[in-house]
Amino acid sequence: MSEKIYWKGIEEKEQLEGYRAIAEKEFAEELPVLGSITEAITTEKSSRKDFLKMLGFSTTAAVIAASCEMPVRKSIPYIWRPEEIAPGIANFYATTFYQGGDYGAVLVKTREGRPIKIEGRAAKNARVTKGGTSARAQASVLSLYDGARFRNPKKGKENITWDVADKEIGEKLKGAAASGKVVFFSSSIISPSTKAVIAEFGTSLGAGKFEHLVHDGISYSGILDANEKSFGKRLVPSYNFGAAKVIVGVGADFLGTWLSPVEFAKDYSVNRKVSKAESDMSRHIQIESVPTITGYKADTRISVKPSEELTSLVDLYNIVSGSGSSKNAKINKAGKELLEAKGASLVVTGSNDVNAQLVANAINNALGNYGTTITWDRPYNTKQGSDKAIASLIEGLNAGTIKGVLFYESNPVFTSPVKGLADALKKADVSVSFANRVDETSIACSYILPDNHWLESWNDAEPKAGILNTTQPTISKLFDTRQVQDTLLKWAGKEGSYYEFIQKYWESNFYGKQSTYSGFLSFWDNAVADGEVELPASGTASFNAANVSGAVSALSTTASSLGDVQVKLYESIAIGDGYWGDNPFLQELPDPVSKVTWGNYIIANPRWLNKNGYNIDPDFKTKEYAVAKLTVNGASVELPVVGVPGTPDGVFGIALGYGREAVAHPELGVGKSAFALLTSKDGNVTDVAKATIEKTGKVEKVAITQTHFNITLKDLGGIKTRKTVKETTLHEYKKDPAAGNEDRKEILEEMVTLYYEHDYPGHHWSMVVDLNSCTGCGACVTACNVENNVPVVGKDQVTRSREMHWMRIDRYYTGEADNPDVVFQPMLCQHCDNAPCENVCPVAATNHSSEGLNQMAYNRCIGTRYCANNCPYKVRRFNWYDYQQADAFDKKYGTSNDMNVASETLGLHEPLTRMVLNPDVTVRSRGVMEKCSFCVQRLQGGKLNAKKENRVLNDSDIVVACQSACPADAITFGDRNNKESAVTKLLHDERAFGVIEETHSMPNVLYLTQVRNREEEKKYDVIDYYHEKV
Amino acid sequence: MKSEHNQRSIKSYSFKAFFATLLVVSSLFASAQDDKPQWEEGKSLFKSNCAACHNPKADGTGPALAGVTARWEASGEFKGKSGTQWLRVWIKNWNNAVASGNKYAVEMANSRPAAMNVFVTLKDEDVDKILLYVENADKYNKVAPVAAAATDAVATEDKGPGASLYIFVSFLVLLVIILIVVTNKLDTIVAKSKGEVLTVKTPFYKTTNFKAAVLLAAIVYGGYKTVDVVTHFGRQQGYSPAQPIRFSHALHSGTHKIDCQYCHQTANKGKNSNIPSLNTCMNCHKQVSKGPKYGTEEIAKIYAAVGWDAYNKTYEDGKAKPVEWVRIHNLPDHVAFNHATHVNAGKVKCQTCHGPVETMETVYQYSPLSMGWCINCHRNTEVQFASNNYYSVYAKIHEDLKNKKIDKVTVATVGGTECQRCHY
Repeated sequence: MSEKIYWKGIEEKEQLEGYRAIAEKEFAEELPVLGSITEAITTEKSSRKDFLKMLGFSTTAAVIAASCEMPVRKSIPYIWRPEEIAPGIANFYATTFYQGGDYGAVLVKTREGRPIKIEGRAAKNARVTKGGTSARAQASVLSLYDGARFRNPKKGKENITWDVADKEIGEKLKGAAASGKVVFFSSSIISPSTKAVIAEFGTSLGAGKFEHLVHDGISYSGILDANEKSFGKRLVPSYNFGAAKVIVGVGADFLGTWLSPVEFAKDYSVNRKVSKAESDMSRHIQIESVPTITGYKADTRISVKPSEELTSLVDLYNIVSGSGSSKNAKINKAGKELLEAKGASLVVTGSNDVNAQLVANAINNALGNYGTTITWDRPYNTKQGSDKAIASLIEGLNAGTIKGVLFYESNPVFTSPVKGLADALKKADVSVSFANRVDETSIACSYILPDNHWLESWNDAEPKAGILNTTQPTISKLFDTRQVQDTLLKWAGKEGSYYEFIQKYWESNFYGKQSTYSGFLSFWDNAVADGEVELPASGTASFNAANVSGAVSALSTTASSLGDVQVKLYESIAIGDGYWGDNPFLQELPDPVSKVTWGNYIIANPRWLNKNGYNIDPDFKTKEYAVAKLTVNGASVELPVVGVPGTPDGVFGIALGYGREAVAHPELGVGKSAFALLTSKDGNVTDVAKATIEKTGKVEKVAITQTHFNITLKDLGGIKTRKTVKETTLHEYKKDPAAGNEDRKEILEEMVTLYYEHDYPGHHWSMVVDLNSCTGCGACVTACNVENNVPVVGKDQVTRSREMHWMRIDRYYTGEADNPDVVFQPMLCQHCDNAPCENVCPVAATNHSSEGLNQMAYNRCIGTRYCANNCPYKVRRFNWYDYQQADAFDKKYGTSNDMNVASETLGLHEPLTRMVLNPDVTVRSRGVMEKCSFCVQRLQGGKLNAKKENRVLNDSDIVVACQSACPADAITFGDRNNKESAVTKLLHDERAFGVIEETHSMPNVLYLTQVRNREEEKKYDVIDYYHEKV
Repeated sequence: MKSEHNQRSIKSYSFKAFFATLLVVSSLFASAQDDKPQWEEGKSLFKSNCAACHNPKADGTGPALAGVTARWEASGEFKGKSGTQWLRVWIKNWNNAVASGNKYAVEMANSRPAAMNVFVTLKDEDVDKILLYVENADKYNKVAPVAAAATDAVATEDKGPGASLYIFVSFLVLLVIILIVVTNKLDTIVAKSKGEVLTVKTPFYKTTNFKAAVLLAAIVYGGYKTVDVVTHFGRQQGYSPAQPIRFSHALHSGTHKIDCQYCHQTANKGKNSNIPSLNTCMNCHKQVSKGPKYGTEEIAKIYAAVGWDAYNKTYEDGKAKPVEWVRIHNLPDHVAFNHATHVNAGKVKCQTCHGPVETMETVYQYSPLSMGWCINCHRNTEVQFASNNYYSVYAKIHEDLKNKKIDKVTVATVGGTECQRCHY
């Protein structure tokens, strides 16, 4: 076959029977909504009398329901209206998101005093994350209104008051300090004031009576220990991906999860934007085993086993130091390219093996990257944990030397690779958890003293040295909780609140280091208003090569001990170390790589699945997955096996963080915990291990969205290949900017229409998505969900193709299935000028606006679903249930319909949780269609601001939710009638194309071709993986 | 009979009472007519100059003023001027009175922490008029309730004619039916007596034509009624619920001409026009503790809600309790109405939608707030096309306007009748 084809999964690539059946139908299943009733209607004979009875009953019911009186609504004004709060106008406050190593400089949007949305701070006040946000930061606002939060202090299961807690714990801590030691156990803390508070508290217990142990759920102990050996500093230096011309990532998912992904995505994408003026881009080579979005994004992805990730580091070291070469030609080439870009290259590895990090340091040192792409002036504070922390805690508890433990922002009972912490805790005199929702550690503690949510707290943060951030409360605390720092100050016998403490700390430690403001209060007020202050940077480190040769040989030994079957345990983008497991938004976010929601699974090579009899659904009909038992060192998990192209044969991947047992709702505990599979080497946790895998005979359904909403069906109506994504190489691009997009000219020329053309007298909204920048991370999807009140539907509904996301990220593979090229394509309503959905609606509920919007009037929609059927992009979502309990009738007359959807069982209908809803967007009810509106509430708001200020609308007046969240600046939005707008310029770029434009739908969302910085073009391979006979 | 007697006695009583009232009222008019213009003038001077701090009968920032002339007179003659003359000096510029050494003036000056303003522009006759009003504050106010009662009566009568017409018509219909039945019966009797053989005639109401006609009428009427009722579901035009505080827009906005946006500040800023918070009320009602109609009763409710101790003039912590107003203008949840768009950008007057609020004693929903009503207005109302720079991007419409292709730019011209302008 000469033409390159794109496929979302093997089932599409091979056009399996089951796949075609789904793809050809509008909805994946027949109407199974009512179960028994449907059966009764379709099978039993109904008489005319029955019909009349039903008619009579439903008419009466409707009359009774409709004749209800209008409710009396109250309007309750403030007694004293705060000057800055006007009902209906949003306020934005600069604050800082931080949770267990994830940092984000954010603005919080509040309406009538309640936070409803997280936005990135303007880049000038966000020197690290530069305006980008992560899916986790976006979703964290939902956790604020989690009905499962602790509402008061607890002693075991019993509710107590703060006075009682202070008295009892105060005495017990004194006792514990008298007979042993008290340990404060936390994840990495980046707040300098909090650290000072902890130190104060420690001092109050007496010398030698206190210890602060730091443990990160996802360990960075290896890189920290390696840097201590190489540079004498147990820190992580700054990486500047924007300055690197050649980037080699070795198993480091730096665009998804590793170290500081939002910052790296921002920096990385700067060098990946190509235009005629700026046609150079960085070259990215990723050497990895289990596929990540970083690997999928790379120009060249070298697919290796986890053990080979380690040996490739050795090979690279040998090449750059001129002492050898690799057996793998691709790695040799990578080494050569690194050498050519000395001083402007960057090698990073995500391995937690100290030796791997030592070798990586040696490679960067040999390449002269320190001081250019890696600098020591602003090291990270976000990773400080030691893998020895848990072991020493358990040891101390068992030996009786540790008598009191306080857990803060840490859930070691769950994240610990070693068992025994929960039992050891029983031996302590006092154990306190500061968790604000139930977790495995809190139920093992004798006291739970709930901390405020970060949106209710005062704090500060120093993610990188000298970059100081403030956290301010954006809502009064909802429950009887107390901030940990206030608790510690109280126990330490200090007067005053933590807020006062922060101010004093800043005055004595930071105020003097800056010269911009005179007077502490003006310095502080500006810091809080801006959210960030930059202090002068300093700091260098010299490389100590002493450990390198030892590390090189140790690494080779480790690699050879891993055997043939290897497992890699990785952090998932959504759930992290498990902290986010109880956030429904994140559970339902499809994993960018596998497109699986709700739960974890074993990633495997598709061909391996087929060869070894794990493919129990070869025609993709039952959509069931075989459950396998994977064992490492005696510990095992049983999970379904999912084939992911790009995974090497004999390599398996499992996401950590799933399988939480202590969660408020069982649905949130989906999956199995893989922390027990982590092994230790030299005191550091290693995420790769030798494994065995066997069949269990069990099968399981996996909520995988890969085959949902297909738009690429071949041989449909004579169209052989639909143009969904386009790509080219940099080499070709430099020759012709329209490379890969040559056919567009022809398509546009062929466009003739019988319909009249729409008139756009004022604005004409358009979006351009740069496929070269999009990393597929999912921040936009989550931002869209929060902004537009998109419901969570739960695992069962997702398996029925009913996820409601207005925005999805289609992930297309092309090339050889063992190591394919990948293109991520955010797909949302294209707001076609010739919208096929519009002319099939029998009630004109969806129609065209004079600003180019394909409007959807929910209250006019009668739910025929013709529009969804006719939409070539499959971006329309139907409300099969009243997912958000929008219908007053249901609320008034009983709890629910006949449904058991997640939104109900997860308590998302509760008045408390509904406080997260955006009051500017209608909550849709059952039976209506919905879809992306181009954030019309923001369009209307932006226009109003311009009108109020008597001026022309600017580009900056309107930033749509997905655009604002994107950490890679892939999305541009604006008015294409405005010749000066950024979007107009991009629309006329040679790289711009529309998806399936040949249907003449004239989409208003255009995409820019993906450009890969490499010369060779991959071959299309024709192996039938599923039906291949071994 | 007994009942008749009773009725008669009630009648005679009410006649007597009526005449008695008439007599009292007319005597009031008679005795008072001569100084009414001065009194009215005094009242308006008092309202504009003094009412911020003084009340004739109650202590405010300044003391209660009733009897002030007598008190000054009682302070005796000083430097050849009578007490009343000194009062005039005091009112115009109290500093002069104090400087002169008048004991009573000095005493008064020290009695209050807040210094009084000076009113040098007031003439002696103005002062006298003010004093006339102050001393007889209720003199002409008594007429008011009678007038109010009269308007009430007119209002109730207004609702009358519709019902009586119905009763009259139904009576006529009934009469017709009875007459038909009676004549039929009589016909039968006559026929019987004549010995005629009666042919059994199918009664008209059993004919197919009649049945069909009735059915058709029922369907047409029923259908019309159903559609009519259903389209009016949820509409509340005329809705005028009782509010927790009998706040009068007629007084505040009508009589005192307070600007709408003095209280509803956010109408030109954001989506909602705010119901004023109580601190806005207290800007004036710290001083004004008594209203013309309900006296202190309603204002006391504000004080209770905001936690104001009217005696000590302080806010009491923890006593505040928000007022739960009943919302009158309710739009469905799927309607995004924005006040700022209309008030600020569109320069639409509040009254266009809310009606003559300045005449409303109790606010009612003036407009239907139906979608048809919105759309009609959007079709007819012109936007600030020429004066607001925002609209400069509508190049084509500017062109059309110039070429006289269109003569005005309404909201609908710039897309204001499209679904997603209001529904999202």
